[in-house]
Amino acid sequence: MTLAPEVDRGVLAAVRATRRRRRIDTVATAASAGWLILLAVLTLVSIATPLLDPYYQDFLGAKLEPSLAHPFGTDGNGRDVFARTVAGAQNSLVVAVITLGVGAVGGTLIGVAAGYFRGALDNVIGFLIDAVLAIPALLLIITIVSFRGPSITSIGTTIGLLMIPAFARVTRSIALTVRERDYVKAAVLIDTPTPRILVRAVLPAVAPALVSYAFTAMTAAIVAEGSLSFLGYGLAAPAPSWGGIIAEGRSDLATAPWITLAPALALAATVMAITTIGERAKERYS
Amino acid sequence: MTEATTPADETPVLEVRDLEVRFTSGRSTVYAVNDVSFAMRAGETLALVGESGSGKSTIAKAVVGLVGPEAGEVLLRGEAQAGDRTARDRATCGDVQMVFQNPVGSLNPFMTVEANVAEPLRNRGVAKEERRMRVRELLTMVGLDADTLGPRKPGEISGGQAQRVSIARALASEPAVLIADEAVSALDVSVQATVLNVLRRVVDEQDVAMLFISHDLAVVRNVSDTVAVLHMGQLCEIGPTEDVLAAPAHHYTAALRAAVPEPGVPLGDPGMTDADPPSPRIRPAGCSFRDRCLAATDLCGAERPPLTIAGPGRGVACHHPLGGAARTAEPVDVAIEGVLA
Amino acid sequence: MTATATEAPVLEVEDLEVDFISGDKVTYVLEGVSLEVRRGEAIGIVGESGSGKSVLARTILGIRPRGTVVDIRGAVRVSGKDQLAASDGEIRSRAGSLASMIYQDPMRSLNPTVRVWKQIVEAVTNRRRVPAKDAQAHAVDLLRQVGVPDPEARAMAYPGEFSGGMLQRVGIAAAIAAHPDVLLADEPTTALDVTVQRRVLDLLEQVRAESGMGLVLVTHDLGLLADRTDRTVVMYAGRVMETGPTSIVASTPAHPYTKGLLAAIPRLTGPVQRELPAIGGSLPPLSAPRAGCPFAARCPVAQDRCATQRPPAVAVADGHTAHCWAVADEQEATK
Repeated sequence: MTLAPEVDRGVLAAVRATRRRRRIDTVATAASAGWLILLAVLTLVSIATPLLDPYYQDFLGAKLEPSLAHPFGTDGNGRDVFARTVAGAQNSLVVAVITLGVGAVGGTLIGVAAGYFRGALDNVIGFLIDAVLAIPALLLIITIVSFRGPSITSIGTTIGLLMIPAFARVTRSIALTVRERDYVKAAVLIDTPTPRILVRAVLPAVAPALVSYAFTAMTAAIVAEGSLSFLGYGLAAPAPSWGGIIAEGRSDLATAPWITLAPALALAATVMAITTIGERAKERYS
Repeated sequence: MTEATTPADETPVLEVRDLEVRFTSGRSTVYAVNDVSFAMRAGETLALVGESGSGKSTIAKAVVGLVGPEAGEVLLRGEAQAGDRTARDRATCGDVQMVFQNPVGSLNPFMTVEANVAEPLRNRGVAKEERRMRVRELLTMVGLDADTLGPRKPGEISGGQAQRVSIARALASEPAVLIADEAVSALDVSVQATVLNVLRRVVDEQDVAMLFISHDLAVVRNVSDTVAVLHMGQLCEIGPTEDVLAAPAHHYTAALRAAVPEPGVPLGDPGMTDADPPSPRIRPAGCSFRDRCLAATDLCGAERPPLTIAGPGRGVACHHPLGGAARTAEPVDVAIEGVLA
Repeated sequence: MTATATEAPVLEVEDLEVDFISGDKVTYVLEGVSLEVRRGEAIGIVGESGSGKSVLARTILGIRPRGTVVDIRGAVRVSGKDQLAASDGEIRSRAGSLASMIYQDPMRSLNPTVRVWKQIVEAVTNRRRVPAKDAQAHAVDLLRQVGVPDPEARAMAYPGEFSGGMLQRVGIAAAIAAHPDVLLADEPTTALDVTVQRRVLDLLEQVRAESGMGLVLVTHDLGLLADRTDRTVVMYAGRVMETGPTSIVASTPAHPYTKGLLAAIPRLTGPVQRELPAIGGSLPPLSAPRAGCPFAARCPVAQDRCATQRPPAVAVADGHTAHCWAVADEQEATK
């Protein structure tokens, strides 16, 4: 870019400051993407090769400090914490994706229907959402997981069901405003079938908010799964998940802090990476 | 005007009879349209003029069936229409189309210009090839280049262009009545002229009836054959645009006319008091303009003035009309009879 | 209405250039705009969207857009004091010399939970301590001046207790509370009905005449300025096209753009125009500095040099200037 030669120094400084801010943004996004890619690669290695076996126990090598052989050390059962963290990522992320799928699809369907059709349907949906929100979430999860067993799908769908109200609220408020837009009225006047109006006019308008909220929801799902596993209502042992590994390492926190630290840092980094990328996505859309 | 070519006994394309629209939310009711009647024929432009709250846009919504009337009727080619659009006969639904105020906002931002114009055709099951041809024709008709503008999204075209795309989309349904709801008020003057010219041409060439809703008397004067002046949901005056604007019979028309600024023309006497209009939440007794009117008497507060003949094809709802327009003894349904006479 | 020419202008804009810089994109919004307002004088700035009239108003007031770097060159002086170099604090502390009325809906710009008298005198009390009693008395005076009946009682009321028309008056009272030297109104009536618009403009006119302040009316509607301003400045694509006495600009404009604009306005008087003369084409992109005249591409009398050489300011008559090569030729021919 060329600026007129008479541009004063204050303006140049301001221009530079803007560019610096953008550069920091770019670096943060690249780092976040890098972390997620690394996670994905390691997960693939863990699935495809026997190099990272989360279940291999070496009873002679319990609670080993981090070393070249065991970068994150070993846990109380002599299992490699690095391998378990990588395997945990896989489980945690699959749960998060199922959660997101159930929450986003269910919430959008309900929210868009309530916002677009309003009337009695809106009232009924509003009441149901309030009812769901009135039940303590933890109680509900624990009950469902106890009945259905702690599998990846049951945990994922349960947390997902609990996320439906939030998604429904976000999408409903947008559908409410979109239905008043002139282009929707115009679509009605030219006899566009309602399903087509919903798909071509309302959904695309809902999408940006949906995507940016999805990132937030995804991090919430990861944390929720972690908390559940920590409380003992997550995946059944010995299957690794971040929350579960953290819980297992809790008793050894004083003597072998790496058992807890590695999955905790991985969880934190993942949440931050997703949030950063989500922010960028939000900027891009708006 | 079309009087010469159209036989007087022909059924009007659109007729609105004794229309009343109310909006109720909670305990408060807004009396938006109070007993309004008018009729239009093909190739004719009728302008609804009034300030905010006059009910002009509500009338448009009632005509297309987006709001249901409390009382009265909307007739298309002599056939009464259901108040709610969804209850209307699908075959006649496309007969009334609308161009909205916000140029870019009334086009689907997620579809291209072409797709927007093609949508009504698609909804009627027109085949793809034919659709493409028609879209081309329609865009050309409103003076747009289909090759350059067609593939663009509404966000990438100017306001004037978007408004012409809206007109093209409305025409795709081959409507009998085209409603332009403040269709040029968001546009710059230089662009406004282009869009007005397109609308005029469409009315002439396609023989549609245009209901032109505007707050701008100067625009209305250059576009419409007949004008209906509304105040607080009441019809004040109706008649041939030139006659009404040259010599208003209603005090409100005169005041409105006097307030329109024009380059190089000094403003006339305001012709009204500083009072605010009455609340639309109170069922109007008498004339809604009386508080702002200089000629108001006790009668105006007590009795609502009926619409009476005020000249050839003209009706006025005023107890003390301007220009000595004598009231006939019997109130006549001039809104309909007068315009068609 | 006309002020003595010897007096120093209360508002002076000199060769103002404004660029918006956002990332790598530069928008050249204003290109060398000059104007001046004398004491007691009313001027109108008229232009369509993209003309830069609102940015001009905002630059004069010291309002900068958020998230965008603004490069300003040239000078803006209010009562002889440099407005551009001033810090925010300085602008606020001397707000008395310059006031704005840039809101269209007083219902939204007034705080519904604060009594109106406090809001009316805010421009005064924000800058210096005033005993509440004096401030209140001042507010009552102002309400009386703008024609609010029973001002003592109304001053104590909340905005919600006023009708729409009365709130407009309250808004004007607040704008003139600090006795500004210049009042700048950016599209003050665009959202209003014509009958209300007329009332607001009449009131502004009356207040201007009584207080002797300068008035700048920024609008897209050339018709609005008739009878209300002494001079009109016509802007297009960030440049001043024509300046002159309002009555002359509105009746016998010199610049082809002003002529086109006037012709395109539908009239209430004269013959009905079935086909309105529109100005073809569209605004040039503001992403590059305009070479020559920005109107050249749409101009019916454009010459070759219009596209490349910036037209000079041609004095058509005393106080009437047009920036146009064609006008320059005409002037040459008549000499």
